[in-house]
This record gives sequence, C-alpha cells and structure tokens, in this order.
Amino acid sequence: MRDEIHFVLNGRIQRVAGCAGDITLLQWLREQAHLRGTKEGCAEGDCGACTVTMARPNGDGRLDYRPVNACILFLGMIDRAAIRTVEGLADPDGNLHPVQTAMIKADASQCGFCTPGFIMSLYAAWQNGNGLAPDDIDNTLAGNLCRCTGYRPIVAAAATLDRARKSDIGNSDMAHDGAMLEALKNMPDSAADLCLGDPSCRFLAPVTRISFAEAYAENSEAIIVGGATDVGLWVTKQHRKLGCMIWTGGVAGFEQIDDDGDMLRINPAVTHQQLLQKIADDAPEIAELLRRFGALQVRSSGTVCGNIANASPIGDLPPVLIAIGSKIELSTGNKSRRFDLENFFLDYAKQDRRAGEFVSAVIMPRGPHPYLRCYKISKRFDQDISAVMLAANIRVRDGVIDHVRLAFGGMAGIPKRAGTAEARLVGKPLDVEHFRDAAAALPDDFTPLSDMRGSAEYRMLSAQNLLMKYGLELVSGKTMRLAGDGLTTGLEGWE
Amino acid sequence: MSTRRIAGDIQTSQHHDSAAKHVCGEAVYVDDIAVPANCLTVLIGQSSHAHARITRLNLSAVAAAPGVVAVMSAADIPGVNDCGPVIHDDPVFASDEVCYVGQSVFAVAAVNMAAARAAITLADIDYEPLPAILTIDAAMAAGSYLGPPSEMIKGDSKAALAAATHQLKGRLYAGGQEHFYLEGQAALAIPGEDGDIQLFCSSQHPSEVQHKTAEMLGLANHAVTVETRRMGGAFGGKESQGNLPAMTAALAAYLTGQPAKTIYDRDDDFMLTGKRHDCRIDYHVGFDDEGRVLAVEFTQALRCGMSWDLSAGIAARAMCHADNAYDIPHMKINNYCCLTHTQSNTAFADLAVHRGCLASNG
Repeated sequence: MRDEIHFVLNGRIQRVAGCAGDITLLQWLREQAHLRGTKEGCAEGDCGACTVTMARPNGDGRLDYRPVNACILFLGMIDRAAIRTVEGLADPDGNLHPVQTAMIKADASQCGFCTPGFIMSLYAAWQNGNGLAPDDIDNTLAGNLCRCTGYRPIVAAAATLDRARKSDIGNSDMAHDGAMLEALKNMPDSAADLCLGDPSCRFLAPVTRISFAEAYAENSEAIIVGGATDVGLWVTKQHRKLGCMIWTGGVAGFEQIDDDGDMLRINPAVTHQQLLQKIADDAPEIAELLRRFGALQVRSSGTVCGNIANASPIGDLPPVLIAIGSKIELSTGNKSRRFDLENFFLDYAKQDRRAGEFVSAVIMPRGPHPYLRCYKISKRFDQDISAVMLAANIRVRDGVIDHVRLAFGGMAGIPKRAGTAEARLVGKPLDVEHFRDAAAALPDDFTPLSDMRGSAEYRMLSAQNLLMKYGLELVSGKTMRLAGDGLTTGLEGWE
Repeated sequence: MSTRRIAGDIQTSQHHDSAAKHVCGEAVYVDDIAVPANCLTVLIGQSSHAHARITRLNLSAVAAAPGVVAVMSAADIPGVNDCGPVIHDDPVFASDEVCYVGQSVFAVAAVNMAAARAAITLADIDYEPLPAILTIDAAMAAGSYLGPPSEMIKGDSKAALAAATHQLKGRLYAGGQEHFYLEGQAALAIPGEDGDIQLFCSSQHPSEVQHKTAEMLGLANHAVTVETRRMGGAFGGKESQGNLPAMTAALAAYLTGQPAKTIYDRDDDFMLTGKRHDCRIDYHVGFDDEGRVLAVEFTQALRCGMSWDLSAGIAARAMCHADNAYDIPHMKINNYCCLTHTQSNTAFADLAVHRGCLASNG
C-alpha cells in the first residue's frame, strides 16, 4: 500500500504525501503548489476556468490529453498522470506556446479570468491533433464560459491554430511526449495500491481488479468514484464528508472498451468521450447524445458505468442503452451476474444492486442501429439535464414491426420503457397512424411529475410528440433536427 | 510634419496590456495574492428567512468551534453598520430584522475555509417570521415602495390619448439577470501600523470601499487604503456589491490584527448579491391611422429588493430612456421602486436603459 501520489506536473515528477482524501486538484494547485493561474469560477465543473490537461498513455503508446475540470477532480485521480497547467506552457526561455500567442494576437482576453481555462482546452486539442478544425472549435470550447462576451475573438484565435499546428508539428511539446511517457512508465512503486487521507476521509485507488473488489468488500459503505463529475460536487457544493472513496480509474483494464465485433464491453473507468469516439461511426445517434450530454471536460472525466450506477431518474444514457438492449454486469470479489439493464432500475433512488456489488461493466450491442433515434428535450440544447428523453428503437421484418423498445427518461422515477405504447406498435406496418395510436397510449404508461424542468402536462405532451416525430421520421426517411441556425429539415405531413 | 508616434496612441492597434499575463496565468487577481500564513478566511452567516425579526442571536458555539479566531455581528462594529452606497439602509450585519434569504447576519474568521464552513452551521438564531413580499405584483398590490413614486410629464397625455383614433393597452414583464462575473466577489484586508487597513479588492468603486470601511471602523479615510489591480469581470455587480466582502474582511483584520480574506464562492455569491432589476411595465398608447404614436403613458415598476442600493439612479435611467429614439409629443411616465424581501438589486451593464426602451420598442 502506498500513501504517496506520483505524477508529472508541468514536466517535473512530483511525489505528494499527507494530503486529505477529498482535496481537489484545484485546491492542491492553488494552495499547496502555489500555482494560482488556474482559477475557480464555479467549483462545479460548469465554467471551465479551472481547466488543466491530464495526459495518460493510450493504447498506441502516445499520450492522450484530456482537458479536465480541476475543481471537481480529487487529487488522487491524477496518480500516474501528466498534468499541465497554464503556467507550464511557455518554454523555459519564456517563449509562449502557439496557443498563447494566438490568443494574444486575436485580442481574445478581456478580464482574463476565463483565459487560462480556454488556453488549456485549446492546448489539449493542439496536443491531440483534433478539435481545431472550423467545425470542431465550438465543441472544443463548449466547456469554457467567457462572461465578457469574448467568444468571437476566442474562436478566431482557435481558427488560426489548425494551420499553425500543421506547420509546427515538431513543436517541443510533441518532443516532450517521449520523455513524459518514459517518466510515467518509470514511476516508482506504481504497481502498489494507493491510500490517501486519514480515517475521517480516505481515498483508495486500487490498481488491480482483485484489490478493487477486496477494497470494496472491506469498505462496503464506501462511495465508488469514477470521474467525480457528480461526487466531486458532493464535496465542493454540499460540503459532505464522504468517509471512504474507492476510485475505479487506477485499476488496470478498467479503462478499456472490449470489442468482440458484436458487443462492446464498457469497463468501469471508460469515459463518455472514449465511448463517443468508439461508436461515432457505427452509432452516430448515440454519439450525438453523448456530445450534448456534457462539455468535453465533463465527458473526458465522467464514466459510463458511473452514470448508470448513479441511477439518476433523468440520466440520458440509460434510456438509449435500454433501447438497444444493453446488459449490466454487477460483481463482487468472485461472483458476477449479468442481466438486462432495464431491470437494474427498481424505483426512485432504488436499484437492484446488492451489498458489496459494483457495476463492473455495461455490455452494449455494437450497432449499427438503423432504427434507433434519440430525442432529448432540455431547457438548454447542450449540456443540460433532460426534461424528457426518448430513445426509440424498432426492428422491421417483412414490412412489419416485430420488436419495439421505447425507453423514456424524465417520465417516471426511473428510466422506463413504455410497455403499453410498445404493444400498440408490435405486429403493425410502419405507418404513422400506429405511432399516433401508440402516443395516445402513453398516459397508461406514465404519470410524470411537475418540477422546475417541466410540468406533468408538458412532459406528457412532449413525450407524445416525440413518439409521433419518431414515426414520421421513420416513415418519411427524413430527420428533423435543430442545428445551427434553426430547423433545417421539415417533414411533410407534420401537423 | 513630424510623424513621431506616442506609445499607446490611437493610431496604433494595441493588445490588452495584460494579455501576455492572462495567457500565462500570471495576471494576479485578489485570491491569487500571496498572503502571510496567519491570513484568516472570512465566511458570512446568512439569513434563512426572507423577512423575520431576530429574537435571539447566540454565536458562542460558533466562536468555540475549532479554528475560529473571531466571530462578528452588528454589536462588534465600532462605527457605522452600513454598506449602502447612497442611502444608509444596507446593514453590514442585520441586527433586529432580516430582509432577504441570504442576508448577512454574522461572519466568522477562521484559519481556513473548512473550519469556517463547519463553524457557521453552529449558529443559534431564533427568528420570528414576518410577512414577506417577493414579487413586483405583490409589492404593487401592497403599495410596498422604497420611496414615493416618480412622475415625468411631457404635454398632455390624457387628452391626447382620449383624442387618438386608436389605443392599445398592455403589460409586459422583463426578468432579472445574474452578473456571473467569472471571478466571485473577493477582498483581502491587511492590518497596518496605527490601526490602518490596506484592502485589495475586486471592486468597481474602490473609493467607496475606502469611505464605507472607514465609516464602519470609525477611522479617518486616510487610514484605509484600497487597491484594485484588476477584476475578473464585474458588469456592475462589483460597484456597490463589492462593499460587503471588503468591509467584512476589513472588520476581521481590524478586530484580530491578522490579515483576512473574504472570497464568495459561487453559491454564496448568488445568495448574497443583488442582480439586474426585473420589471413590469404597463403601457397605454394612442396612435393615428398611419401608425404614428401620438401619446404614451408608461407605469414602470422595478423590483429593487430590500434597500435602495443604486435603484434611484437606475429608475431615473429607465424613465429618461423610455421614449428611446422616438419623438412622442405627449408622454407620462410613472415609476415605482418596489421594496421586496429579496437581494438588493444593483447596477448591471447599461443600468436600466434597455428596461426603459423595452416598452417603447414593444
């Protein structure tokens, strides 16, 4: 057991011992390392002012740079990673990084408080070699707020970087990758489990599946932490003392997506961004849902299994995973059981998870899913919690619908299928009339609640309209989407 | 002719003088200033009631909590208990009555934020709830105003409206707005020689911070020095609302002799500070067959919150800009500054010019 974190900070190896179990990376940077260029804007992973990059070796022997919100990342989660902050970009002679120069030249800072976060989001894109093309910039910067309304010059700065990078491929940062990889590989004692903090708050980072299961068996009250995009807020916003946390991210193999050609096995530490990249071609509907789910910083930290285990009634992933017939695997030390994901959610805040079990995988059909559609209604288009979410999937054989899955979020205390509405479609031809009939049956399936995101009436009407839209889209072969400047494709017969 | 150029002249495109520091993380904001090891963290204890009488305030458990160095309430203020910018109706700490959820009732100065957070939960406060007015509609119905309504008159709107071929009447509402400066309210106070206080503030009005702090501590103005290097956004939200964090830090430094810092986190900032005035405007317009506007009457109601803050000036802006760019021969504008049991609304970029313009453009 190790009580010391090892990581690389701005190119230098650091060993840190004696820190609290729930200290965040931002607190450590500002208060212990006296690196105050990284700012706290919201302390809940929304504004991006605290963005730093966290790099780990990927499967191809290169470093994969993730922009992450340091404000909700526990310090233990940077173990054996390379962190770079805004102070670490200029070279030792004081020459600025091209990302920094581009921001100055475009006059892209005003009050300057958000600037370090923007710089680090751009730096991650620069290092990864994607995210700087004109169509990608908004996505790259979506997790960074600027309140002086400086987005135009910031985007202009980003737009100059795509070409700059191509002509500067031998940049010293790239050359440093090799040295950093070597340093990460040779971290002392990195094969030992990590335990930070004191008995009032411990952070455990087991490094093998066996030691993870043992740690959870010994600490059955522990909170399992994936990306801390929710648990982090329990600490920074609710000021809770969590007692014991066990992190999935240090376990060898937990960060992998296993692909057998038919099914994808999503292991516990796989992030939303990893999944998005994996399925972008086969299942663009799911990729787009993941993109809207959260900004890059959140997608790069938050995990799929964490999102399932968290069991929010309005979580966006469960409906779509249920719609394609995914399974969940729960494990204890030596036993695993696997069942349909839809049966995991029993009632509001109640799941079929026994003491000592953890979510060891989500198993999803690889796709393609030609009839899958995901519709999300939220107050803000991107990065918002759904008021209503429909993931709909059918199978058509010989012109007849023979399988139907209509999975809704926001309509009940749990993500739930609309059994009555589904039954109205089974055995019917692909015809708008039957979707209208199914939509009319939704009140038999759901009695939604009223809350700040929508009234019960609004939710029901939205759900019915989404189901109608699904039918119209399938029948017409067209899609109707809000994109950029508004409604791009209309549907004939839409009333 | 000589073409000698002056550095920074208007002929030359200039980058932001701090741009290189911004992009390197070297621009220093208040919370970035290196402080002595004995610097205290100040945290404000807030009201849990919109409107109530404080019947008991017992802070002994707060004072006894681990890491707490000082507890401050109205009784600990040596001078004037007020942080209001114009009218003295904005207590630093509520003494007898609280007037909004989130209002400052006391503050704790502790060795770190964790100790301060734990300590403020130990406050023993009894409230006797009083009726609360939260909305413009409720305030107008109850006649709850900060002062007498204002009226501006041009021509004879009543007669012109009666004579107009067409008339329209209606009501519109415009919501409030949170400033969301990326850097929350922040102030650092360092005690100096002879009882002097040096303040580093994220404030749009450092001289007001100086005057209010001196008044609160019963010091001469020269004993308080205020420095504002830069702000991480403000948009009007740090004009008067920067006073309270600065003054609580100064009071802690004054009472303990140690440096002290008040940094609002985002949640506290939302609760403590005023925002843009939301408003209700009733309009009555008369016009001819060609659509020419002949006469207008506006009744503007602004939700000012529990004190004046800068609302008088803001209301004046809303009235003075009500005709926007139009020449309307007959006008009457009535303005009501509604007293509500909510945060005291404050300056916000353009003050209330667009609130006034809104109705004439609608």
